[in-house]
Amino acid sequence: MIGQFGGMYRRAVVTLVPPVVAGAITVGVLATLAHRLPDQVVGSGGIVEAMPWSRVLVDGLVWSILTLIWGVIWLYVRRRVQGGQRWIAATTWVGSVLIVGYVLQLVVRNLDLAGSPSRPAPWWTSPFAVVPVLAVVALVSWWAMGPDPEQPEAAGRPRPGAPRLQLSGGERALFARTVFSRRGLASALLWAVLTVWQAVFGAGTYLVVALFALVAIIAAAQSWARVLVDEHGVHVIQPLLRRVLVGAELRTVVEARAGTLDPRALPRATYGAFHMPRQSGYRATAGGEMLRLQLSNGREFIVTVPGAATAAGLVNTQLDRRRATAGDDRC
Amino acid sequence: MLIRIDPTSAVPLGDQVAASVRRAIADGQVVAGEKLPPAREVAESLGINLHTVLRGYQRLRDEGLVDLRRGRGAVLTSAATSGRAGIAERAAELVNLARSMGLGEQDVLGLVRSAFQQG
Repeated sequence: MIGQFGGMYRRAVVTLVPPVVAGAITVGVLATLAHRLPDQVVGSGGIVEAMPWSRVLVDGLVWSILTLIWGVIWLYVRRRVQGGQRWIAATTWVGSVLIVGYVLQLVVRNLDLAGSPSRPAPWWTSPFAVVPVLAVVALVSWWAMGPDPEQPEAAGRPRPGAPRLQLSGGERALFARTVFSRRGLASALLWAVLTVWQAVFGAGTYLVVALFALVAIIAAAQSWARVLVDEHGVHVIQPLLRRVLVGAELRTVVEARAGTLDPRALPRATYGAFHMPRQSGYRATAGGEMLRLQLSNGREFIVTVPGAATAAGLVNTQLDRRRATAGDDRC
Repeated sequence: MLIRIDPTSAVPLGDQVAASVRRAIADGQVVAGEKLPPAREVAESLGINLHTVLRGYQRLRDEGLVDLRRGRGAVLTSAATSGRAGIAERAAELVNLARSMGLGEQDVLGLVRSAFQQG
């Protein structure tokens, strides 16, 4: 129990400290360098070409506070979903870096400047530099959240009526299926087009271009996955990155079932890997075949995948074997 | 696609991997253009050697069902139709049966040839 609270405390600190630091850096940098900055910010890149430094300060603080509030709200909403909390941390870290980057590039361009025109934007404000940096920041936040708390081990075997496969004594099996989300792909393409449009014709700052590009990359990565079922559990893997997007270890699975996803069961825009208070999983299609796992913590793991009945049969057969072996060990 | 192997079987593990893929093609579970799971992933999941899985994939390539390219993985070719996979699967079963009965390649080819002539 102490470990669980320790984990929650760590996750709250990791998620909420970056926006506070971003706000502090904004105030600190502007206060320290105030005597070396001109009266007006030149080349702010926004709608107005020049604005007072107080506006930059307020913008930085307001965005830091909004990022903090975003983190608090989502941490509360996703308090029982450890996997989902990692995404919240990634957003607050990325948001904080963008806020600090925005303020710093304005300071660098205006430091000791006598008047207009301002210096050109530094190279590190290019989307080609910003996007990789944000990706690294997101990965570091992912790591900083620490390991997921241990899920309780499921007990008992799946019900007699649950689907099963006929496997002989020493036989091993693996279910693998690649799934595409057309909606996810369309969303990625839309964001990619918006990114190019914003970079070429848009009046927005580098922040907007970087954010659009990041969303496009994430949407593309989420639109294509491989579902793998083996004696370790059910995992949804991003084939290009070879990383697990979502998964359920076999030891935490109570029972697997196959069914049809009711499109109304999940929010309309929920595609790709998702984490919700009662369910998590991966959705590629609006409806269709679905593998549904009942987990030991009372939650459900859902994956839309063709051949779900075979996958469910394999999971239950592996569970029978695992629990039988555990029973033998106890004797 | 379900890949099954039985280490206690007399059939080589690589052939069992190939047979699973043929069955999946024959059942329409996978279609031309689809990628097979990476050999490394299959080997890790099934607890067998990577080269064993690659041997199975190479057998499928020799049958024209799979295109193996470095960096692209194993992709089902346009020849990977249910009919062709079904014939390849039965041919593999025939060879295994012939081996278990002590028959050689020429014996089986002779039998197949005479079956064609009778048909």
